[in-house]
Amino acid sequence: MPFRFFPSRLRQLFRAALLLGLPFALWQLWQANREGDGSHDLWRATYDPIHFAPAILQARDEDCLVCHREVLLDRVREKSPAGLPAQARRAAYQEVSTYAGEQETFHRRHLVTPLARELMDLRCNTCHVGHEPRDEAPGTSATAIRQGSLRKQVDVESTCLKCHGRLNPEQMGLPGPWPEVKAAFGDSCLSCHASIRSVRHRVNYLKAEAIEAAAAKDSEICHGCHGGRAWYRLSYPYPRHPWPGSESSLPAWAKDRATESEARFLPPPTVDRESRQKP
Amino acid sequence: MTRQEPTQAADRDEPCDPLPAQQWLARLNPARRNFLKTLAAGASLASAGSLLEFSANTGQAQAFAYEPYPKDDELTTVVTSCDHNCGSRHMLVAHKKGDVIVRLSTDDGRYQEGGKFGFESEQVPQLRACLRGRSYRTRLYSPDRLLYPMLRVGERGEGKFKRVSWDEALDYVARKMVELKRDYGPTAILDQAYAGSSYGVLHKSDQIEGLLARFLGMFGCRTNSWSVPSYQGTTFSSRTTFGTITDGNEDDAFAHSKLIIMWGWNPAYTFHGGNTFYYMRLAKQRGCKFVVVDPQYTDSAAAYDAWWIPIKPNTDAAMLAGMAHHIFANHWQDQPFIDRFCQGMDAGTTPEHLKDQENFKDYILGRYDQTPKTPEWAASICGVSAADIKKLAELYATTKPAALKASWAPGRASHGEQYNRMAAAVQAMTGNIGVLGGCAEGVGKGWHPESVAYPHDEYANLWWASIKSDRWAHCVLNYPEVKREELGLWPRADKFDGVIPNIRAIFWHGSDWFNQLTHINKQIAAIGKLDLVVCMDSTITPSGLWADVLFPIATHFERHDVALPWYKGHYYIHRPQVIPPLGEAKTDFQVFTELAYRLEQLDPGLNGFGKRYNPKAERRYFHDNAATDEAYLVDWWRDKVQKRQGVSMSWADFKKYGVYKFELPRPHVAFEAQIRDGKPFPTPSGKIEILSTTLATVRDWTKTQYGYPIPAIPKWIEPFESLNHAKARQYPFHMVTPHPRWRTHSIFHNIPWLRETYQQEITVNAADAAKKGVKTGDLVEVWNDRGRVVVPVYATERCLPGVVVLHEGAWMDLAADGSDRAGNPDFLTLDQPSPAGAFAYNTLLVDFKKTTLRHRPGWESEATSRASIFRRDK
Amino acid sequence: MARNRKIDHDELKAALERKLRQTEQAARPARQLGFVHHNVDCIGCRACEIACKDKNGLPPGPRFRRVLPIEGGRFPDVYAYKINMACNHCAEPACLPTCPTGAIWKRGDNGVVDIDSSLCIGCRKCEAACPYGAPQWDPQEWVVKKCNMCIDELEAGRKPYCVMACMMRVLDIGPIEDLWQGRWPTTAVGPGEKPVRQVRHMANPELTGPSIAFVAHRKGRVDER
Repeated sequence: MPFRFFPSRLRQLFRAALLLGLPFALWQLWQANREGDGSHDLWRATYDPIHFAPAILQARDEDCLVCHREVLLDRVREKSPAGLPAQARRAAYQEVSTYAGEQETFHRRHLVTPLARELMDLRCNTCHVGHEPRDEAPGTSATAIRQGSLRKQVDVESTCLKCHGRLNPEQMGLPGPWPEVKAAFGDSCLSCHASIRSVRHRVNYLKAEAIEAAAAKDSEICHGCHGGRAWYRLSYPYPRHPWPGSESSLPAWAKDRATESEARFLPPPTVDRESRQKP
Repeated sequence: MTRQEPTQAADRDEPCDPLPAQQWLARLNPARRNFLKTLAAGASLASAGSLLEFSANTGQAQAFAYEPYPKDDELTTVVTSCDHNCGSRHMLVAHKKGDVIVRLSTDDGRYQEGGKFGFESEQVPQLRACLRGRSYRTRLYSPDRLLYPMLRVGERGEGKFKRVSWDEALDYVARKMVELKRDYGPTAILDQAYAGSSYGVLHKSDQIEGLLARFLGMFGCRTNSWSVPSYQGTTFSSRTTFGTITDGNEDDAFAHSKLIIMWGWNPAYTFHGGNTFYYMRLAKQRGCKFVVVDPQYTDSAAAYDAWWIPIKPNTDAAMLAGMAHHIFANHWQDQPFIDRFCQGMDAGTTPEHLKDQENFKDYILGRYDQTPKTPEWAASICGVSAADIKKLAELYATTKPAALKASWAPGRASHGEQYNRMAAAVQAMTGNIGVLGGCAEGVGKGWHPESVAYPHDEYANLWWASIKSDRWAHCVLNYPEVKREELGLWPRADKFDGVIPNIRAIFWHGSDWFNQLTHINKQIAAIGKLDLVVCMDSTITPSGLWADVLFPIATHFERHDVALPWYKGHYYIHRPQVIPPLGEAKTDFQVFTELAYRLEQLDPGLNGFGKRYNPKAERRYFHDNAATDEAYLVDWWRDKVQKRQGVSMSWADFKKYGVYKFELPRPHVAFEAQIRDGKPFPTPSGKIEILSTTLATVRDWTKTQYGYPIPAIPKWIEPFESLNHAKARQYPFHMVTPHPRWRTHSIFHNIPWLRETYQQEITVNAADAAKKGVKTGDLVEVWNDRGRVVVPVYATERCLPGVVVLHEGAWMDLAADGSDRAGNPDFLTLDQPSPAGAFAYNTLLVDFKKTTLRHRPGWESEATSRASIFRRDK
Repeated sequence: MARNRKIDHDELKAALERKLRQTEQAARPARQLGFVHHNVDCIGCRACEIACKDKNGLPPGPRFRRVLPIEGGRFPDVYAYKINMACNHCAEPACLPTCPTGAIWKRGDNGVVDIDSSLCIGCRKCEAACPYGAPQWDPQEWVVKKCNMCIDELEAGRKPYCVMACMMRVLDIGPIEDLWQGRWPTTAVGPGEKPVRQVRHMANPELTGPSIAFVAHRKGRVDER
């Protein structure tokens, strides 16, 4: 298993090392003693500015993937250690028609699978905005305490929950939980959401028009993200962008909601259909 | 649960796994360092790291198979203990399958007479091991284990060794020893044993009462190292003031204090002394207030919610003097206590024959030097405001009982003995001695265990020269042009008095002193002049790489012994041989015994050396030690534990249960008998000697082991270097070098589990870091006249500005430019001991700047899963 | 090594059935156990962490239990405390429904969120879903592992290794409702102290209903902000 870390070139190198012995050892020694050679220095890499704001917010995915390419390369095991084939079993959310394809890792499912490429434009720094490498705590006395979760790297509340929150039937004015009442609505989210909707998908990490188009073809597409089962027991805390024809007053349950996404998530004006149609 | 009858004979249960021990080791450590190849790659230790990289991350998964998952109750349970020099000795319980330890647990109340799961009481607490002990399995099965005798083949320190047979290694050492004694006399071999690797009653490595001292003493060639790195200043103070270093309460006494002042003390890091830290939590729950006087807001300060008084390092005696002044000025001192128990606290307590001497109160009030040691005076030196000094003085003088715990760390400094003596004076003037909840520590040794099971006789501490431990390099480099006071040469009554030792060899026994003593660069210059360097250890240590001969020593899991706490705690833990020694490791007692037999063949004058050294052993002890070791332990239990300490439990029962815990009727308090019953203190006057009878009568200081004058009363003396020193203009930061939590001195530095939770880093105040343009994670080089180290920064508000903290014990990693890339502060420390012998570990000025030099965090430290990310493209 | 183990078809089948039962609705345990930790009195020594690694045979990298040092303030008015978390054995575990293979389930008796890593295919969705970082990736065995509250020790009538390792006796387990109500005797909570369900910087408990109780530091309380 450990060799899965290494591309084959490295494996060859390793074999060469065994054969070449001392010359290779000396080469290694020379490598190790080269000053300031960051590529071999875990410490320097860990504290590279790219791991912190503001650099991480400007980083391109390619910059991250220089070191972290396993995020996209690593695949699930063919079989679990006990011999369960990866393709033999699917979670409920994987049974929806839009969730097609092989078993995939979390990162690949969000970044490079066909559905991900079609509907989303997630970047590394959509979720990863820097963390404290010393520990999993958000900051020290010297760097000021940031808000954020104790969890390493990503705060699920400000990222995952935006899409994977709970469908709150009361809030939605449904007669019961969606799985129980969906037949009455033709099993289609769009039976309501064709007209009742915000512009919540209009953020730069989603392809709003593609989502609209996909949902029009197959209403189950919504479940691909919003789930046959909610991941979290909180409903979505996404900002309630006003939309054309929306009421000026917010419902009570949305009183504390933001009405604007974080600036970094706002779509570039040129692709904003609303603003293009304005004149 | 299969409880094992922990005797040597019964140490065989069903062989669950057909793999012999060697194959198990290979399986446990597929990454085991190829020692020869590694060392052949060059003198730099970094080569070890780089060569390891491919193999290292293939490593640990197989060592700790998740499946199949053996439950504890399916394994054999053996009670043993941790072993290292932290002052405690907590229980470890090995759960093994065949000869492989699968996991370790600790005391859960079951392993004592009448014990059951979860049992503990305030009188009989569980002896739970710390993180270091809990990581022990990875140390035992570490790739850095030394498994075979090795002989140096390259230059010394170059790190080239070859594996040899025990015969060859032993004969080589025996021959060299005889030559050295013949050619250079009885001071040629320097004893640098320490309590690093095998602290038990039988297999004891120790500076004071270890096996090596008796071996070299009986051989007739030994220069002793007398100053103890940890606490010589404190020892001097305790001996001078109270006449003993047993000035400590037992740990449970802390639960009865109303105020605990942690002066330079961080029990949350050191775990020093049984359950001290836990009893302090009980004190907190009972309303005790805490104060921390320390340049750092330590985890102890946080956990006990203490009032933090940040103080400039090495100025503690001044602050204590300021407190004493405030107490005297307000007449808060306990005058009846002073009058009855103290000598020289004031004019009234100064006896007639010392009337020409200064007394403490008049010194504090400035009657001699016209400088009253007021809180304002103290504030100008120590950086603590006069108001805070007064507030603390009042708090301490008016809260009863109050414990001023004057720890060792501030005493590991230039004139550190003055700090400890000043603290003892303040303890005495408030009457907080000999009462439950008070504190006279000091050294703080409490309950006294029976600590020696090996033959201990008139040879146990023979020497022909005895020097301050960190002056050996100075001696070797300047021999014979060196004065006795420079070495702190201990006086003798014979012709060897004042004779400068001609040191030609060093023995390291359970000692990593080359890495741990001060001013490593000077040691590096000196070690090249020696003819023989022997290292006995279970691990390849940084010191070992500078040796000529490496003897692989069995760990405490691999031999029979009994563990004891030497600092606080009152119990014995049986340590059976849990597994057979790995590789060709032997116990230190076996090695010394075998060497003794070989020496007597080379030197007829050593008639019967082998038998005299180990009287219970036969000649074949080197190959079969079980019965002999058992016999020593049985005698020790019968003659010492049972007879002297009144223990009725049989040896067989002790072995069955695994631990014997003494249940004291009430917490042991030092000097209770003196205060309550009027028993004299063990000082010349029988009093608490604030004014020392002994020091007052010294005429020629150069003829004492101190070499230089020491005042007869505690006084504030400017340290060699400090933030108040002119040198601070060149080197504006005062460095302190405390004990880390994730190592015991240098032991455990190579343990990946511990390395992933802590880093060797330099703690810098956030404002200082900003001034230097560095932030947490940046690499800096830290330097002064003596050396240069490379280490990452931890910037924090929890440190006094102007102070930097670098924990001792990182395994040195020399680069070609002479700098250390692991961050070992002893490349920077001063090899000038305080007159009383205190190491100046916390007396050094440095500067630092951001660097492009490479940092090499250390052996194995990159063998974590995440490291593979950065290795894939090599 | 786990990957060489013979396939136990009965075990596989049982796991799959368990999965089907639990995907939509996590088990409601008869008595939910949870951890309690004193954020102030903890000295942050990490003996619990190391004991856990030893117990579970973990290589460097994965850490089921993590002591998180929090510090703040400006010199000299600083503060520091520790938050100590492993798996919170949530009432509604976010990890559970993400698992495609049924490797994760919640136990009906004590509410422990258990994992059979031998069923793990390494998709790492549970790791991403958990708001507390409990599931840990073992890159050498290529599976996710996590804290199961030392279920083998619980079944033997003992407490988890981390609890029994605590030198300060500030970490314990107990029925979580009783712990929250302050009616469960434990050394983790001192006289007059009351545990809380959430502290600063901890993800919102409403997300998953974590079974965790803390004695909070005054700077770590969320109810007094």
